[in-house]
Amino acid sequence: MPGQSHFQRQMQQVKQDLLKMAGLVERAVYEASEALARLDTELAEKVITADRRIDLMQNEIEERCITLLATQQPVAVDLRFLSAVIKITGHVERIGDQAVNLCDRVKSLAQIGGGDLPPVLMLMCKIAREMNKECLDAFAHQNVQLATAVWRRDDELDEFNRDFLEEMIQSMSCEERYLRRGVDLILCSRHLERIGDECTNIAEEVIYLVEGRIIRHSDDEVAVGPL
Amino acid sequence: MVVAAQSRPSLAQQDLPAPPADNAQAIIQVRELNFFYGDVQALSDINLDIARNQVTALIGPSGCGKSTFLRLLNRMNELIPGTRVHGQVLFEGVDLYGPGVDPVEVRRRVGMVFQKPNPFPKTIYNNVAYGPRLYGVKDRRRLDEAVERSLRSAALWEEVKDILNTSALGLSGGQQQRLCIARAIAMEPEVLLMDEPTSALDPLATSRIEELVTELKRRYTVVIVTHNMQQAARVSDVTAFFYLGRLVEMGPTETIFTRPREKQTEQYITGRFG
Repeated sequence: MPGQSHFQRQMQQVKQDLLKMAGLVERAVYEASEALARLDTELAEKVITADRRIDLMQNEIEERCITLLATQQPVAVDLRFLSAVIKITGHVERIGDQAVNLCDRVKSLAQIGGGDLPPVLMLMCKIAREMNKECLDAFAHQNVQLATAVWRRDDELDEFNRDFLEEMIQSMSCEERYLRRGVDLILCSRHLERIGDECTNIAEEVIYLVEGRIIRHSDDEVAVGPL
Repeated sequence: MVVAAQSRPSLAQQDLPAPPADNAQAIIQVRELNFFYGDVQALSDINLDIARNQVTALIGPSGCGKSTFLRLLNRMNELIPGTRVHGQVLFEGVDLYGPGVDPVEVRRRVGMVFQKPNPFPKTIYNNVAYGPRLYGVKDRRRLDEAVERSLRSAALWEEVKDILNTSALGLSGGQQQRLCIARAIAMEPEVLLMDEPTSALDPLATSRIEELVTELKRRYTVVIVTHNMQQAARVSDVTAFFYLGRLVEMGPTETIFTRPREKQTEQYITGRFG
């Protein structure tokens, strides 16, 4: 059984570290969307470089959790917490990777040129940023309501992504010279949609952490309950 | 509720109720059980079922009543003067505290293994053969069979088969505890009560006993009191949490240790109190 205060302090430290890592990722997503809006390659490069630190933090947090699992053998809410942290850390790291992917597209788009970005992409950036912030807030405050709201929101980005793909296919088939740019834009949309997916996964972990309910792989409203 | 004096099938040795065919049914049903040490109430309104061929772990902080409860399942508490039992402990539907029930027969069918290994200062063979002899088995071949079968069931046979006539006190702590389990099994009980059976053992001996417990449930129903949360999580199918003489929560072990229903259970198993 865990040796109380020391164990609780260590758990608190793990949470702080994850929130610190999440802060870096939140900034990465924000800066990636800013870089995209302005096709700012310098900012994009900065995000790419900063991702290394996020990767290292993931390793550190996961290792700490595994040590606590092995040495303290936690149960109930403590077990759910450590299990959720390991998974959330992975999702957060992948959000960071999507920010890097967006920045790679920024560099490519800047090279190609070709006018303003589609407004829908900017709207998707905004939604992805909001979802990212809200799912992490839900974790920080163990707020199931907020997590549920994020979980429900994932469809928005999915739909934008599908519509945008159709739209791009249409325009790319009319104007072949825009093919390369079109592919980059489609990939941007895809990266943003993936950020939404990762945020949804984090929201699912928060619900598991607080209530012990697993809602993964269930699409229906019954899983999350009424609004 | 005071035990009602009504006509029930007796647990006298000559008149045993046949076990029901349905293995999923509870072997022990506890109803409105209250227990007192003099004026002090140690258990209040306990209602629970012990499932057949399952391991049920009783957990809770010291003094919560779990060991008292365990001993009520084979009438061991009445050896302590000044104690009172109200309510029912139904074993195969028969109230163990009903009139005409023979406590010795109860203890044969509901065996017990204690915290510290307590072999008799006799040979290994005679420790195991002690119970059957008490019950009148004299035939050497039948005794030999009972000793071998019990030692095999307790996963001790291979280690002691060549030294059966040496003193049991020469065995290691873990072996002595398995010998005590063999001694209990030799009486062919249906239920085995274990009161912190590994608390005096090292990790290796503990792990052997735990493996044995999971084996034993194929033939017996096991109820185990443990202070070791991980042990309860590892070996039991069902866990019951006691606090201040009350049953707070009982359910599948998996549920109790991942998402307990009651706040008190969660606080106890995560070490936030107790």
